[in-house]
Amino acid sequence: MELAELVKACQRQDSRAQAVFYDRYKSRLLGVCLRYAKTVAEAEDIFQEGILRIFAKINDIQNPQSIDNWVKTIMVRHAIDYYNQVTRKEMLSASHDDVKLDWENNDYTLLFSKLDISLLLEAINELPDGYRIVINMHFIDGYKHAEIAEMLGIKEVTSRSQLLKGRNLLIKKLEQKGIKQHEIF
Amino acid sequence: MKSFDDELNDAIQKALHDSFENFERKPRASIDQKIYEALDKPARVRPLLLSAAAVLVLLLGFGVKEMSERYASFRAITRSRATNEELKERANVVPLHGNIVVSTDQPSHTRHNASANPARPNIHRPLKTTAPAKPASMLHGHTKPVPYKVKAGAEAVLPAQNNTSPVIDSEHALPVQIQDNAVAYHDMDVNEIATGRLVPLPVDLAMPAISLDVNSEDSTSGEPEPRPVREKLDFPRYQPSDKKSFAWIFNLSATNTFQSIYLLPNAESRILKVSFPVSTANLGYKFSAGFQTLGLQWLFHYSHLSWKAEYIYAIDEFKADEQGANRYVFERLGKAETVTSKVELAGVGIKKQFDFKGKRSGRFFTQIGADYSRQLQSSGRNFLTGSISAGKVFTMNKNTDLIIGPYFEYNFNKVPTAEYSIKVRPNQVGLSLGLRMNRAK
Repeated sequence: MELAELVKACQRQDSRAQAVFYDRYKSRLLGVCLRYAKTVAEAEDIFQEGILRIFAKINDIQNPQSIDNWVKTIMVRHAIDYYNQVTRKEMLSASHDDVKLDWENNDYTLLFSKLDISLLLEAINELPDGYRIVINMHFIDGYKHAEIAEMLGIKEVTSRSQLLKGRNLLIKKLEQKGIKQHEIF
Repeated sequence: MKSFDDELNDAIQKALHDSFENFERKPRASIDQKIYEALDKPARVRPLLLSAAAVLVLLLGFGVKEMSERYASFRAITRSRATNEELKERANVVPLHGNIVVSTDQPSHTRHNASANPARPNIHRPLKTTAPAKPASMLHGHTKPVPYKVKAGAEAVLPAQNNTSPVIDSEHALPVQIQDNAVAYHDMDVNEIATGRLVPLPVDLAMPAISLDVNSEDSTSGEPEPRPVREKLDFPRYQPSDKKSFAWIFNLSATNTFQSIYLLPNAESRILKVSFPVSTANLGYKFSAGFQTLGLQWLFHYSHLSWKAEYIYAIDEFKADEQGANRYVFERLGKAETVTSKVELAGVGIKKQFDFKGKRSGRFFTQIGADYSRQLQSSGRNFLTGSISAGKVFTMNKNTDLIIGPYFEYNFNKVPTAEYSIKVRPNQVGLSLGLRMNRAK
């Protein structure tokens, strides 16, 4: 079944098409949720609600060719909503100590390259909500600071600041997991 | 030159993006099961939709009932008028002994010498009578009528009762049957004639007068014409509906959607141009029904709106125009795509109507209001709108106003589109037609 037909069938609430659609996107979307969530349980909650939200909004799609992006964006927005509802105050008011990094050389391009993805995911999950969301949105999903500011309802400068602090904290956490700079470089 | 931070960011971005680009994790079987079960459930019957439909049907029912009652009243009034006219005609032409005519509409104190003349049987002429005055109470039909007795040779001037009491100067007495007939009509309470919820009318029929054909010269020719009874049968003038009293409200607006567009920053956006063609696809309607009380209108409404937009998406083709020696202007080409959006909304609203009255131009109104609506389609988006309308008020009858005028509705929400970098604000402009039916008194 072509993608456009699949979307149209889902818009008609054809349950078989919905199952095919779900199978097509479920693994990718759970991966997104695992990045944005603090724990696996939270990720599964976000995933389940987000999937139903996608089917509820599927009538809004007019260009089925952009469905991949659309689906991912819905899930990202839902994850943000989840944390807006649960921990927005924490995001906005959290004050985390700046982590200073002392780089001995400029060979940081190899950073993370040798890391196991599970370890990396674990380090990201341990970040405070605000840092984690901004790092996910900017570094992984490619949103610009203006977009992040609009979606999170914060100032652009706050987004930059959160990203910087989050980045340093992430490196620090990786160090805490036994990965020292000299091992990375 | 990039700073250390920027370079580090780029490196981390590349590393993380590459690591997570294809990151997938299969959900547990129990989660799959839950999702499948949720998808297999039959579509929920939307409670809001059902409630809105029920309320609209209820209001329409009340409206139809109200209209039926009004129609019944109107029929009764018409019948009453017809009966009164008939009475008048019957009373006007009643042959009496071949040359005596009973008339009701000639109040006067003019005296005549009565003498029968078959050649002029239907002269309606004010007469003097020797008959005793009919008691005022009899005119209202609450007492038993006192029959006339015309005494020959005697003179008596009846005191004018509403200028319609006849004065008879005749030596003939009315036959009892005719007296009874005439009085019988008088005795009928108008509310018995007009059944239903009829407002009592100030109907006042005069007692029949006897017009005798006379040979003598008409001594009344120089006198002014008496006031016609018809005037007294007229309906009272309509008063404008009381805007604070309870009333049913029905409103239908034909709308045309025009959009404001908001482009959001998006690195992946490929939109080159957006335009809004003039099209019938922008037409919609809104139906409201509710009631007015405490000076405010409380409405339930259903809207069907649609709008059309044309997007031009960039494609990976370019056109190069040579502008001179070794100078080119490159233009990215695009592919047009037309998107039509349709939404059905149901919700509640509140309006305040201000009425104005011009000296010559009649009545006008202005309405301001606010609506909350919810989309009936699956996305269930909320809409908050403010509206304003103004126009002319036409009084259809004592309790019913028809209003018509231009209508503008501003949408406070920006509506997301399929393109995440675009939001639109669909506003409405159109023509509103409304009916305000005050509770019949």
